[in-house]
Amino acid sequence: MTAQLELDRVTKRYGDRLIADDVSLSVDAGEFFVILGPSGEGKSTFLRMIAGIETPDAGSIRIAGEDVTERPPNKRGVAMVFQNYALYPNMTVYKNIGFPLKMQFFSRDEIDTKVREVAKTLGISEILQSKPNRISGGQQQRVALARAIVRSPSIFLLDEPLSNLDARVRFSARAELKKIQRDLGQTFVFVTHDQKEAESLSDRTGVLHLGRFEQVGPFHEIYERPVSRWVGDFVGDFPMNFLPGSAPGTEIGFRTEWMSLGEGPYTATVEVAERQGDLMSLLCRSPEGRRIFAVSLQRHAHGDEVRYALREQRTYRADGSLV
Amino acid sequence: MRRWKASRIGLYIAAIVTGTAVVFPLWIILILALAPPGKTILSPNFPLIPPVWTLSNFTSALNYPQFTQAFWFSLEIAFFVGGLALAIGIPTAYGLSRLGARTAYGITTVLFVVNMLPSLAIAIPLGAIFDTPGLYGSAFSIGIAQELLALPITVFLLLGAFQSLPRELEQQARVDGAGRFSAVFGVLVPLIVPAIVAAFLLSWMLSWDESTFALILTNFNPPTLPVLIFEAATGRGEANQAVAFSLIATIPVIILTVLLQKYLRGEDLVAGIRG
Repeated sequence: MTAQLELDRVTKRYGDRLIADDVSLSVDAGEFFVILGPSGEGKSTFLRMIAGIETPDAGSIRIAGEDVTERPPNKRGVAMVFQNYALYPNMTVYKNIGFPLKMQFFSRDEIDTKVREVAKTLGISEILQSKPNRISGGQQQRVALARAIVRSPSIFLLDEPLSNLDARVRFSARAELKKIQRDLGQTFVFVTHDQKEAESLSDRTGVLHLGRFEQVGPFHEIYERPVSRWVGDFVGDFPMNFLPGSAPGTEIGFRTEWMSLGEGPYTATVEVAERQGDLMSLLCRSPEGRRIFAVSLQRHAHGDEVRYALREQRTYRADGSLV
Repeated sequence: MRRWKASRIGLYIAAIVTGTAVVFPLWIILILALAPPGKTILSPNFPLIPPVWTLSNFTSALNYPQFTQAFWFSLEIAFFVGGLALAIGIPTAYGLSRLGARTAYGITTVLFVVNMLPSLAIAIPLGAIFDTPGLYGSAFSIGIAQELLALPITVFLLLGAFQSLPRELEQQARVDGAGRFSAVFGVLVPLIVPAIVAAFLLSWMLSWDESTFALILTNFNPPTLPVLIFEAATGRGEANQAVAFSLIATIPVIILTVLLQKYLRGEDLVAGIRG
């Protein structure tokens, strides 16, 4: 595999906020890479630096081996979908999708062919003559995607493109996006704070924290073996549970799935029990006063005591690193 | 029921007072323009309904020696001022909008300093500067002077318009392959057409109306229309003729406003941008 995108010791500050702290990263050609991090961590800034909208304070960015650090956005051959889609409000959907081609001086016939083709792929042929304010959020998202796809860029940058969709559309849009990426075989860099998206879309995920990638790897690996207490706490539908470890200062961390409820050496008191379909989500309190999340097949109520054993666990040092 | 009635009556009173305040001066202008001078301004008691109507004020106004030249001259200057305001104002406002809002409005405030000074204080030194043959009294020199007033307003209006656009639009255009020029003029400018038209109209009307600069800088060859009106009304005391001039002077304003009106509406300014 060849590296399609490389960040080499990139540093970026906004005032005294450190957005990128000496970050190096390599994304392979055809890879779906997700940058996952809490809101306000400056995830989008990474995309904006790759796109050329922002310039790193230090370090360099290479696309297909070429240093593009100083290149303006229109000379980088990357496509970007902004979180708010940034559709040109005065242009029809057709003109929106055709805009990048027009900028590359394609002929009217070529533009027409390509626009209609991509519109067909994304199922938006019916709305080509509409203005962006006349179409639904899901359609706007497709138009933005179509505008990115139409020019066959070398890298797609997507900034939380699903976050403005309502929950029902979001699932199908996610699946569709994955399919598109697979069909195109192109490199995608996708920013999100939603780990569901990272889990289902990514080949690899980078967990961003305080300007650094705290952990980079396949999502399941990050989920199973968080390299730090912070990653364990941040990644997962439920945060990792932590209890004091045997050595002073250390902690053991475990996922809810690693708990066998019923018998075992550990106890916890149920504080909140919530039904979710057939399962119950429990928020418990350990005797040490730690917060413990658990999932149970049995009914529980406020005040119940549960016992559990651990099938698996990780140990973290006092500084939060994995032992 | 009683309260409803009371508020109704209040509304009528307000409407009558406002209506009178607006309509009455217009009515006086109409009387002055459409009645013979002997029955209005030169008569001891000014009639509210004149006994005779006439178009003679208009015919004599239109036949007035310099009227036609002054009319075209003013028109030329007004389009020059409006056009130049946009030619300088659009790039300036765009540039300012890319600075922080504080810096941008700081600079814009400085631009307004000229507007704060009395026009005469600027017109007289300008007159000295333009005091060369070919420049003095030319459309260019009067237009440039008036531009001092028109440009700050134009920049202020357009700055607000540029700032109201999401930054992402320009960035998207750049990523989509547009250079800076086509991103600004191909994507952003079409979105602020209403502000551009408003700025043009304001500059145009400001110039069309302006008399201080025009009076100081004119060599009466020809004068601008406001100067001609001023001269007719004060120099010769021909108020009826001056009023006829004024009424004629409103015609281009009305035509221009009607022509450009449809561009003043911004229909889909922020559509398609969610967030």
